[in-house]
Amino acid sequence: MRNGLQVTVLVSTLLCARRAAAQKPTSEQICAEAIRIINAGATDTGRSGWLFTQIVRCAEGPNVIAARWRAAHDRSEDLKQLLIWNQQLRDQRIAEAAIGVARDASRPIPVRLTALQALVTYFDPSASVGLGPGALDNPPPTGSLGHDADVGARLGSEPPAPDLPDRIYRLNRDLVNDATPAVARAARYLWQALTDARPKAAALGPGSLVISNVCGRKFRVDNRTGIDLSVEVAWSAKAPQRQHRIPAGGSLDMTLAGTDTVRLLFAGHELGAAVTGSTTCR
Amino acid sequence: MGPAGFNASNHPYNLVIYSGNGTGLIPTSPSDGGATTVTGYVQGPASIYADRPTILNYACGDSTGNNPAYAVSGSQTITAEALDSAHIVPDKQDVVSGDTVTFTVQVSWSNNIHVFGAWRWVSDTTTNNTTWTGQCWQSTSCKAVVRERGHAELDQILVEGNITLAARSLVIAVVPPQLLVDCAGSGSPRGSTVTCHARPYPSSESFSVSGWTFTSTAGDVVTRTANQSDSTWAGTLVVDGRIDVTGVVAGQGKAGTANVTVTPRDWSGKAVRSTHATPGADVLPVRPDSFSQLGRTSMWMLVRPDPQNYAVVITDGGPNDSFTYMTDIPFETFDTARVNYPAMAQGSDWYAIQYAQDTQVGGTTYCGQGRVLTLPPLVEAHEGTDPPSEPNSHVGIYVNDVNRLAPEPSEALAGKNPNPEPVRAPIDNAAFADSRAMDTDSRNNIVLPCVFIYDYSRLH
Repeated sequence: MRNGLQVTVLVSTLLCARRAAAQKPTSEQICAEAIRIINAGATDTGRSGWLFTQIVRCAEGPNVIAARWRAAHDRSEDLKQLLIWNQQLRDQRIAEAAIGVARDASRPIPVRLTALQALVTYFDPSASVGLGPGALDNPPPTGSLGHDADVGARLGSEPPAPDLPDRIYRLNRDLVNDATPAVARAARYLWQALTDARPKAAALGPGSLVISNVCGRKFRVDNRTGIDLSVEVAWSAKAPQRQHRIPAGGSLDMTLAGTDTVRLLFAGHELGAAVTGSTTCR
Repeated sequence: MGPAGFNASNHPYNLVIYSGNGTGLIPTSPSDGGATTVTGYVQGPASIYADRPTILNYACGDSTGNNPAYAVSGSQTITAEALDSAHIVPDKQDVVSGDTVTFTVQVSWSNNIHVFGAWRWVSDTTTNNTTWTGQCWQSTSCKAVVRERGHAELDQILVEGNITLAARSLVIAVVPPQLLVDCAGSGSPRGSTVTCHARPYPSSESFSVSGWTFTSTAGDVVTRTANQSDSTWAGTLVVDGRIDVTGVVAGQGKAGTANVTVTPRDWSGKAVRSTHATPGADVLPVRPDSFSQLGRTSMWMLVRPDPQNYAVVITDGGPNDSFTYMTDIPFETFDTARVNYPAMAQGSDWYAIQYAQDTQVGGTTYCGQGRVLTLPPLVEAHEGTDPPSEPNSHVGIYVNDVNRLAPEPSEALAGKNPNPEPVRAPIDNAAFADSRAMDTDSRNNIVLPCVFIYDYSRLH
């Protein structure tokens, strides 16, 4: 949603115009107060609550919010505030803090899950797995990312680095083996969803997807990863390229026409090939 | 032709029919007025004459022409009909070299046929290896082992005892044996039954079937594993492809092929299953930092988790055995339209930081507090809390686009392990892109002549 005359309003100018006679704090003073309150572990309640919004405009805002990520407790109001800030500000320092939290097995599970949830928007700003805390508590076995309309987070003074999406992808892939089942489940769900959204980010390792000949023109594709993968099979310029979904840890047999070598591709990259077998299929 | 003659000795005044060359005397016409038709045959070409050669004395009266002795009445009809010649009819016209063809003399107007001539084979090629077999002498039927293109001839065919005819057969073609496949039901809507029949050509040839395969245009091969020798293969067809059959025709190994196609079913009326949620503000910030935080819509398009309700795996042993096709759209949408009601309420922090009325400062017009209170219905319509009545909302655009884009490619999802993901993702992305584009095009229902303030230090 975008107001047709959207502008950024300057704080001090308006303060002077409206309350010319009053003693008005400068923006530096406001930010200092916001930093003090937030660093003290306060929550967005009472008269000082507006400072939690104002912090996103402060130069030190990303550092303060990153610190809150590192110190976050398993309290719904804390997690909710972190996700609200996530709607309002995107900065490399915040992302680094969230990555650290997600990897840190000593942190409370809800905090780690919230970090994974927030990081999805650093993979794709309009991607969504849910807005509020708990979205990754019970993820489905498989699923795709949603889209959010009306996203409008401002960029911090350290915008997200170009390699951040790839790092977030690897983070989720790594955490599939996390000792905490809830984290591993959420990571697996995200690994799957991020792979489907951006297959080129997958960078599958050797042996992840293997094509082999069973007999004659019967071929088998084995998926040795922990997620379902959409692959392409090509073998002839005359035949259309085929697309298949190979379940995690599963395989697919297919009998193909022709005599050409059969090539296996993922995200446009060839991962292997197989030729017609010398033995006839029975 | 006037009355018949008298029924007396030498049949005075009777009508006599004869041919011009005098060789074919037609049987005497009957004198009895109640007689049935009599027929005579004359070998053509000839002219037919009629006469009353036997005089009856005094029939015409005295020398003056008066006082005739008799008065007669009645009529006869004489019909001259040109009859067809004799024919030699083969029991087959296209044969494989070495096939036996039976030729039979046929005269359409008589069974009184006697053959006195010799059967002859006339080759149309440089060879003449066709041989007659069995008893042909004076037989109206004769068998030949045909080894080249040609025809049979025969003369001295005596019909009705006085007509001598000659005849020749149609040309007998020698063709290579073939195994043909005809498929009924090809071109029908996806999911219909196709029935393929194998048959030999020439049709009179012996044949047997040894195997069937189907190869889809996508390259999947289905080999028939049961009743391979049946001359018919039938089953549900869901993708275009080629039917191949192998077998033996006239002792030679042969293969036949036929293309089969399906046509799309009309799924234009199908709708994608959709779930809609309106959780209010959810976790939108009560102090929005930008106009975009007054509402937010999440949209999802997923593959349905209940394939038993939208997909069928074919298990009929037919050409598409083990293939899957859709009976319903395999996708569903989930959308959540959030509206930041607390922020847009009277007395909220965001309300409080706005000017009391629309106010111009410098070159910018700021919205007054009253406008805050007018926003909720606009944001509802923008996000789509009631999509059917809000087609230009984020949800409305997304869901309508998915419903428009999904049926056709979903209907075509068929084959061996068809993957819905390559269908889902482009539709999902296109629908979302369209939905998001609404923010900056003419469908956006929120166009204000002023801007709001997001500086909460004004609360201080």
